[in-house]
Amino acid sequence: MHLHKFEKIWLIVGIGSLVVFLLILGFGAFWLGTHPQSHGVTIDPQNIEAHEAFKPENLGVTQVEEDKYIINVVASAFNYDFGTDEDGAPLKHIRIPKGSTVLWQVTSPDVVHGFNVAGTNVNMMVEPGYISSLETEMKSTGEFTIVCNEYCGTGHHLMYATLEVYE
Amino acid sequence: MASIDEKKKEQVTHDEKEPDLRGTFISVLLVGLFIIVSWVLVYALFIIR
Repeated sequence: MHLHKFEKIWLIVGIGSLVVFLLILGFGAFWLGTHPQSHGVTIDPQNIEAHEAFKPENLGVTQVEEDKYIINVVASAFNYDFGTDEDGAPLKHIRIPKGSTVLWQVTSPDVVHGFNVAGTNVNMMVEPGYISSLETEMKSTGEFTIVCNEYCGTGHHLMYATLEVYE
Repeated sequence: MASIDEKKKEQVTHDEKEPDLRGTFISVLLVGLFIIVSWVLVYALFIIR
């Protein structure tokens, strides 16, 4: 088979970049442990309160170490449940110090929701029956809007909250 | 007869000039460059956020 010199070059470049991309993918998946946010961790959607993380008293921000936090959230039509404040009012504004590591754990009792802290890498699909989790370091200060980015019904646009990362 | 025909064909293909693929080559490299640059930009965004 005769190949033009240029054809050989672009085939080598194309196959070479495919190999490089696959190596990076493999490095991320097998070495760094990157995986989809809900990777088969299941929960009974009819009875999410049976799970330790989603008991009403465990929702919202929990500090586990000096700069380590766990945030448990129940996303349901059409609300994010971050627990309540001292007066029993639902929390819609949560605060985290800059530079802390946060483990987000979110689940849904009804339909598919989105969980996106706009402007950060926290962006997950939340499916009923699964726990979506993601660990991130909050690197920059500011107020970030938490939004549902999966259309979940007529009140979809009402699903939001605020995360404040302070110095 | 058939063998003569084949010989003729061979000669014809040998006489053909190689096509000029410089334009194609540059276009292919530009598309490749665009893909790689966009990938690097998205990856950088993921890292700094």
